[in-house]
Amino acid sequence: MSSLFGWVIPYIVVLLFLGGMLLRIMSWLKIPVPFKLTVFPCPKTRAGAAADLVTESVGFKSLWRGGKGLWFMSWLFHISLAFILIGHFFGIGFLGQQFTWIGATSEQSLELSVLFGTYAGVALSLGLLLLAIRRITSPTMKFISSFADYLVLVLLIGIVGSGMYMRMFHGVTYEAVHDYLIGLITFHPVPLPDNMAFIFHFTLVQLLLLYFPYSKLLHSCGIFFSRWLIVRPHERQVIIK
Amino acid sequence: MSEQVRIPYVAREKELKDLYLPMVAPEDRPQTALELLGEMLKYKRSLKLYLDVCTHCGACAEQCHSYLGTKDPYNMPVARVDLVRRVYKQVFASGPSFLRTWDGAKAIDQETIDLWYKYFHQCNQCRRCAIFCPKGIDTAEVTIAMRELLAHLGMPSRFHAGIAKNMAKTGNNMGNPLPAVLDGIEFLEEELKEETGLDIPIPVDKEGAEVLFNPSSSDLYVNTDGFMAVAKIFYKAGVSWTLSSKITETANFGLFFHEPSMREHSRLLVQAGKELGVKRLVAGECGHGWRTWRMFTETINGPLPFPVVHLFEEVLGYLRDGRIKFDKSMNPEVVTYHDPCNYARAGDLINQPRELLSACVQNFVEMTPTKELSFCCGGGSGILMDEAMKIREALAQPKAECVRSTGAEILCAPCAICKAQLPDVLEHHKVDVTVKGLSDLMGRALIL
Amino acid sequence: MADLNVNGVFIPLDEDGFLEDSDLWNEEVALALALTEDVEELTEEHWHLINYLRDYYAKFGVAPMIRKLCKETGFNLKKIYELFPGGPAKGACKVAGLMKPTGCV
Repeated sequence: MSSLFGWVIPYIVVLLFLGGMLLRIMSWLKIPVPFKLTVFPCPKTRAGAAADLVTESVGFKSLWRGGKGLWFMSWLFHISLAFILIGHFFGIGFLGQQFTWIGATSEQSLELSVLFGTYAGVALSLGLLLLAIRRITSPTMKFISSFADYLVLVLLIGIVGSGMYMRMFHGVTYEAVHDYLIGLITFHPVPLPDNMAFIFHFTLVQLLLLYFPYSKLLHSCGIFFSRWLIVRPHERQVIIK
Repeated sequence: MSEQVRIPYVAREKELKDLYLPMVAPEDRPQTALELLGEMLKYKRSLKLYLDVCTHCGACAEQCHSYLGTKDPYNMPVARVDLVRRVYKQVFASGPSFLRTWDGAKAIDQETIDLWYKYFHQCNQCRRCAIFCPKGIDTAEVTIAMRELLAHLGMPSRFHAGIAKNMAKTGNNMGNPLPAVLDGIEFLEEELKEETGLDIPIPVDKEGAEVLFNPSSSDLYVNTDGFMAVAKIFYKAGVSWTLSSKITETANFGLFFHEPSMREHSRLLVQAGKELGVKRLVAGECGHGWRTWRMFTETINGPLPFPVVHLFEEVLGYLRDGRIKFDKSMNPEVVTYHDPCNYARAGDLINQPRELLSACVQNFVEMTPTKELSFCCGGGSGILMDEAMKIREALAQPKAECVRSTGAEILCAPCAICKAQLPDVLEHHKVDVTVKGLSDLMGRALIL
Repeated sequence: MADLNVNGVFIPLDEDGFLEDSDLWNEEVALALALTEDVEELTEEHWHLINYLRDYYAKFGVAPMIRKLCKETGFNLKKIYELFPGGPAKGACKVAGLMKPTGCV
């Protein structure tokens, strides 16, 4: 049973996730773009258009133009999510020792790793809660929300909550998770850490990955394709002097 | 809005026949609509992307003049597109059906199609939502697609279909036959003589002219000051120009609902230019006509044999070269500028009109918001039907407040649709301002 | 829109209250149409405008440009709105039995 959950299912989930995403992206790319859709004023070069995509995806420029409240909630959520994903990579990958590279001692590094993780986790929770409250309390948001919109929020809150809980109150160590994940990645599986909080967190993440290619979470990739349509530099067919 | 607001009339059989559009029985419409939507999803990447990547964040809602003015929740861009998205999720989207149901999937029925008709005729295709949407979703794209789909369901608006029919018959949207057009032009030449004492010609079909000027047909009916100003400017700059007897229309209504009409319109103009051997085509004051040239013609008509320039670019060239001069004191009033959506967001004409204005008016004030953030007049995409006046008034409400707060005496709105829409709706909103084109103001200030 | 009742004869109108068939116009019809435009009676000035529109229409099949209408009737736009509150296109043209001008107007 634990080998099924620990060794078999994660591979299937990752395959379905990657395959699903690939298919979705291909489904866009195979459709032509017959007309120019540039919204002016637009970048003059392709590099400028690429820079626009970067400022948009890092700074949320479009939301900044509108209501600052939504910008704050959304930006806080996404930026702390990015920090946490990076943190997972370094914290688990290097067992919290990544700050020794910039001169910290081993204990200091672990402490810093935990501290940053906690801050980012709190910021992420705050962002998520604000977005959830906004969606639930505003009548206009209610009008445009479908079940899936709430579901994604609940899933994410579950993932963040269980993640915070297991680190802070349930004694899951970097080592245990590190060994398990490295085992998966190198195809030398070791047993799942025997920790209910971790299993819960890990299972929710897998559910999210399964859901990802068929949900609005697709915007994480799609935004680069849809924005490209309106920011790509637009050369005039006939140039006048 | 009040409970019973009249929406634009649907075209009748006689208008459909002229455009070779089918009549589809109401009970057959859902199935036909699905087939048409399926086809569109195969050739418009934007459509599929937009239906896939929206997160229902609602950033668009407060930026849409249609929602702000009508307070009808279906007029939030996200909700408008959701009317299509729910059908897309039901039939075309990937993934297991229970997931699609969670995304709001819903089977298509006749009521859905009626909602499409109603709400895709309350979107002005102004593209303001695309500026505020983090994913860059341009609802205008969806509206263009859905109007096209409705047309092929035999449900274009009567107004649009009637105009496309006029265009096909007479070469202008008003349906003025050539003798009437020529009579009007002759009359305007006399008026020019009377006003200036000069023989300022309005040439028609002059072979070998440098410029083929293409006005909006409303310039030859109601906005005659602006048209006469153009004749004066060409005269003063010493440019040989001509109109074409085959087509006196830059306002390409095909963009709003019917690609074949759009293609035919541009084709006719290019052909007229070729036959006359002109060096370039100058497009008059019309927003979406300009958008068609900039964004659509190359795809749908193929490479152009000569440049198509906007009147403002052309005149700005004369001004910078010193070929014409303006006397600002002829326009002493406080003037503000309304950016037609299809100039600013869809046509790259933002600074050119401002440079011209600063040369020909004394007191220019900017509106807030302005340039690419400007609100639509509420008439965009040809929502100019008399029967939909209540809707037009509601759509214009945000713009009316912007104009009011400038305190301007003259509102410069250099687009035929804006000029038709704004005087009526601003009067309704009790904004005391005179609407003029930029040509009108240039004509008053031009030193002959 | 309901048909126009002119002394017991029903003349078909379109939704905007314009004549479906311009050939059915006569002076009686004009009087009935005027009532739909809140014009109680047709004075000599009204008829001057209507007749000009009718003549132009007979010759060219459309309404004249507004500027020409003003110039040749001697009425400025303000005066035309006084005569026909609906204006030259939607008021005067309707009463004169012309088609409604369409396009960006």
